Amino acid sequence: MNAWASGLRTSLAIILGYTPIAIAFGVAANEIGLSVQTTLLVSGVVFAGASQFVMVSLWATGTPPLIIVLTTLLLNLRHVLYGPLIAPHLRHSPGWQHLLATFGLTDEVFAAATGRVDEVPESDRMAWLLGLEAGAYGAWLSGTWLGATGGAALTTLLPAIAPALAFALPTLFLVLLLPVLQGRVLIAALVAAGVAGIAQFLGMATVGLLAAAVVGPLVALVGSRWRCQQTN
Amino acid sequence: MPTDKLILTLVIGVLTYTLRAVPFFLAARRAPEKPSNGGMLAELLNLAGPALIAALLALAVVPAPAVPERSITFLRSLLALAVVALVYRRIQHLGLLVLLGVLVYGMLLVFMPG
Repeated sequence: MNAWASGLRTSLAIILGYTPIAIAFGVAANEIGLSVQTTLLVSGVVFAGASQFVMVSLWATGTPPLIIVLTTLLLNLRHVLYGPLIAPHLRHSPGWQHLLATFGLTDEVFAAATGRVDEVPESDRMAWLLGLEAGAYGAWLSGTWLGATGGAALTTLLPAIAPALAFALPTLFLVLLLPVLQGRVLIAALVAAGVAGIAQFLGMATVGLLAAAVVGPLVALVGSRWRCQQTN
Repeated sequence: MPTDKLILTLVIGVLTYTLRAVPFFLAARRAPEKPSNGGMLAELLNLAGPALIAALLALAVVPAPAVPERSITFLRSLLALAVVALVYRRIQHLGLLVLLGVLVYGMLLVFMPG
């Protein structure tokens, strides 16, 4: 199997999780009166789940454009963390491919790529990542289209199956984490999950994610260095 | 499509892309070597990947304040993830484990309604 197809196969878990969320987005956009073309354009150009929901719901309430831009920007701020962690794994691929690959760097693509990219030979990594992103993007667009055109049938079916299918995403995160949970990584993951979980409970998810990315690794690193000093 | 909505969509799309692409290119230019080559920053970067995945997991599992029946939703997620973690000891297949998580969570939705 070539690297692109292998990446596409890895994206199956993301496809499973994205499809119901994208359908829900299509249904929500349809319910507030957006045309199918507009809904597809939003999914195709923005490709960022939570901020798309916020964006169209703010549209519907007549919020000023500047507020919509700033709100979605704040929601997507976490994406600045992903590039620096993925870039070192892709340094042998040409720059134009980087332009393409960074478009699809969503939360779930980042998680799958971080967890799996080291298992792929260096020369195949970009093709593998583009395959992974193609699966995710395809699912996002086709789910949006289904939701926007599906109408009443989907509106009644979706509440019954969407929560179960959407659980593919937390399962994917767990399965990617399990092989590396030991030593300092375990500490970093536990602290980061704690920080993000508390922030989510308080309704501050974006701030929590940014804080978790800093606090988790710092606590793990300082802790391990302190233990080293104690034993020496 | 109204022009104002088209422009707004394009602006948000470009800004979202910028947030993803600019840090990537800055990192690619400044640090061409793998982050595992030593140094405190490199160690932090090595830990940041799993920490971010763990944080994303927490965000997916802990219900936001707007979610009704938060405790039962949280409990369902924990139970389903616990089953996946237990099965992981025997089966290490990404796709099968994700399907298992979906199935278990679906069953819990039926047997532990909110």
